[in-house]
Amino acid sequence: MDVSARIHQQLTKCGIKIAASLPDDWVAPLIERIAADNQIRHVRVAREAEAIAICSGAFFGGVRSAALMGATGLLTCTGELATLNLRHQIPVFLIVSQRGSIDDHRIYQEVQGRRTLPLLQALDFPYHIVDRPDEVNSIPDAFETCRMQKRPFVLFLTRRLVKGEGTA
Amino acid sequence: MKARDAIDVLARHRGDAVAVCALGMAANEWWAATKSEESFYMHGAMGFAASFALGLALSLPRVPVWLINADGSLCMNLGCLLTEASQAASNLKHFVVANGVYQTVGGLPMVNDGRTDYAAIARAAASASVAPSGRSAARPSLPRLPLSAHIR
Repeated sequence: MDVSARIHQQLTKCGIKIAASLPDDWVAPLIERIAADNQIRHVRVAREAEAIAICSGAFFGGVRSAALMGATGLLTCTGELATLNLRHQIPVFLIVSQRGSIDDHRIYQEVQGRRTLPLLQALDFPYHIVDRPDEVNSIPDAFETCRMQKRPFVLFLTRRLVKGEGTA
Repeated sequence: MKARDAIDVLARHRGDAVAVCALGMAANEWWAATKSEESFYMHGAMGFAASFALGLALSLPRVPVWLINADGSLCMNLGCLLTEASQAASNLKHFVVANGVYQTVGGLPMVNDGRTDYAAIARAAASASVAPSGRSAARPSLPRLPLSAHIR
């Protein structure tokens, strides 16, 4: 089973019924798997913060959800995560490619690599990094932590996880 | 029609719909008109009340969801109209009160000085159907209003 299938399986185990996404190439295979799953309502959005707000609305409808995007998209959402999710204590589970790592080798991801984690720490948003296939099983615990803490929670997927060993 | 008049008309026709209000004028006027504590009032994320309402509508497909939006908020995220159109949630109605100003922060004019046709934008985004509503048209047409509506 490839890693996208394993992540998809864990999201199903979490009871996720709505997924909203804007692709980054590292998470695109996972997004397409979810889109093909008729048990999950998949919403393609025009901007990442839409995914945040859709999941927030779903929370009030009692439906479990996830937002999928790249690290660049996450950076565009920080205002909405602060003023919607922190303000109203709405949990939102984000699945984000951890771009800008030392094995990424994309100059346009360099700032994301250096500043994303410090930014999340400044906002006191919890996160969890999944780096190896055997760590995918931690996703239900991460999801439950998000629900308990009633705040944004970022699950990062590393390049090694989604692309395998070696560099770009 | 003044913004408050438009909100009053909507409030009278709300029925059992759950209302989601964009922050600012929409939330303030909806609260003033309804004192509704079962509505959701966005306190931030300007432009994303539409996405929030869509998520709620998809989660509760048997519950009518009304989005009380305003032109300032809509313009923060016009892409929401594409997302709405793609999902075609039949229980969601999106109302846009287009007063042409940022009412809550001093009433300064919006970009493009009132020349924007939001109903045309919604149609072009392939919204299920769009009903522009002016002073005379709003009242009789409201009970049957479709996905996106526009009140001047």
